[in-house]
Parts: sequence; C-alpha cells; structure tokens
Amino acid sequence: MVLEVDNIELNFDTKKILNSIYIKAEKGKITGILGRNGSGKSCLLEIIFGSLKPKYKTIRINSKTLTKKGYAINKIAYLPQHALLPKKLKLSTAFKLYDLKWEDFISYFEHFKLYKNAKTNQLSSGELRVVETYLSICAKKEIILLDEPFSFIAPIYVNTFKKILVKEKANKLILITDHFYNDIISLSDNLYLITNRASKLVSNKQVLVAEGYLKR
Amino acid sequence: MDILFKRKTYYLVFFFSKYLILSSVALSFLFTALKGPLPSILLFKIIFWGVVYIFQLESSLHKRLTFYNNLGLSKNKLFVLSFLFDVILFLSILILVRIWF
Repeated sequence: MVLEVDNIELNFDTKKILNSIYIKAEKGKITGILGRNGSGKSCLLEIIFGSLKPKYKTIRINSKTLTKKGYAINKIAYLPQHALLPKKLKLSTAFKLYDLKWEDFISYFEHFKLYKNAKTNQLSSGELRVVETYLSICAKKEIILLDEPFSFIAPIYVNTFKKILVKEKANKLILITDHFYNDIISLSDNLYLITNRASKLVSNKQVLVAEGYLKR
Repeated sequence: MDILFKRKTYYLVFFFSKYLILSSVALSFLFTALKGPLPSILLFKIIFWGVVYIFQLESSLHKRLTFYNNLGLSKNKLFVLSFLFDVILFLSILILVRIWF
C-alpha cells in the first residue's frame, strides 16, 4: 500500500498554513513528519483522516484518488493531539471496540493490570495517553496516523512504544509526527520536514540544521 | 453500509447520545402529558437533533467525534441513528403505556 498526499492548500482566513505538500508513505515503513509549532503537521494528519477540509487536496491510495473522507474507508486509525477516548468509557470496553486483547496490552504495560475495569476519567492524562496510543498503533487498520504520540508519556513507555511501532509497521503504513525529534529520526524510514508551508524530504540531520529546525 | 449491521455501532450510538436521548424522551412525555399531538412531538425531535447537530459542528465538541470516526461512524450516521433510537424508544414506551393503562 502506498499513500500519497499532494496539492494541499489550507488557509485559515487569510493565513496560508499549507501550500506545497507532497508526502509519500508506504506499507512496512514509518514515515516521520517534523516541523515547528504551527507549521501544519497536525492539520496535515487531520486532512488525511478527513476531519479537516482544506481548499484543495489530492490523496491517493495505491495511485487511486480518495474521493471520500479518509475515515469513511475504514482503513485509517488516527491518534489526535487531544484526548481520543470519551469520558466514562471502561478501558475493557475500549479494547473490545478496537477488537484488541487486554492481555496483549498488559504484556507491554504491566502497571496497568489493575485498570481493566477502570473508566477513562479515573486515569491520569499520561496514563490515558498510553492507552490511546496503544489502541491507535495496534488498531486493525492499514494506515496509522499518530499526532504527538509521545507527549505526556514517561520515557520508559516511549521506548516500549518504539518497540511496538517497529513490530506493527510490518503490516501497516505509519505516519508519525512529534517534537521528540530524536525518537522520530531513529524510528523513521522516511522523514519529511514541513517548513514555509511546504514539505521537504529529509535525507540527513544536516538538512534539519540547514532549514533552521535544529541548532548547529 | 456493513457498519449498520454491527452490534458495536449501536453500542457506540447509545454511548454517544444516551443523555440526549433520555432528555428528548423525557421532554416528549412532558408534551404528551400536555396533550401535544404526535406529529408536533416528532417535529420537536427533528428540531432537537438538528440543534444538537449544529451545536456539535460549531463548537469544540466536534473533537469528541474523532473517536467515533476512528471506529467507522461518521457524524451523519451518529445523528441519524441517535434520532431513530429516540423515536423508537419514545414510541415503544408510549405504546406500552397505552396498552397497560
């Protein structure tokens, strides 16, 4: 499976957010997207998922143009920056809805063993983020969009998620964006930088320095 | 369309709108007690769900929909199914009440 995002133009009133975007992501690979705050990374993922409508867009899956909203094809799992799971939802129910096994989750995150019957509002925001990130990465979908999955998560869990991502990518196409650039760089098979409303394929860390994303 | 034949869909719809459905049914019974005709009660329900739909569209509450979208339910499906739940629940209780009393 190949996902191509092209010809995106997104404006908020008179402010241009995205203009010259070309992103290509493939099954079996993790595609990272970096960019400064407000560069449009989250908007780009929302556009692919279908929850944000830009002025123009072309999204192709296996060279076929997607005419529906992304989520309508039922192949995309999206972890937004904001909370995903609704309040008062039992964790065991969330796992059933995502068709995932609680035991598999516990094998990675033993600390959560006692939370099976807890409701989402009984967890801290960091704990909830761990659950949401796991559900999104392991969801039975072919395309996984992760918007800042490592925010609010303890470093030890970030390492666990990196292992899960490497395992899951075999059967999935994964697009990931985060400000933990070292993690994104080490995980990604392909890396893009969004700068000046356009995307740029990044071949090495020097490009990030030259584009002003990282300090020398 | 296969999403309509999954039990999960109906659980999600009920989870999304249980308080709205219960409020709408309670208000409908209030109208019934005040001798409101059935067509006007159904019209009230259409307006009720229309207002909630617009409110969701315009407010930050639309973020809540990401969860349902992830599980294959669009906003339109959520609202149409919630409206149908509401009407079916109201009419079922109304029929039962009229049979028993």
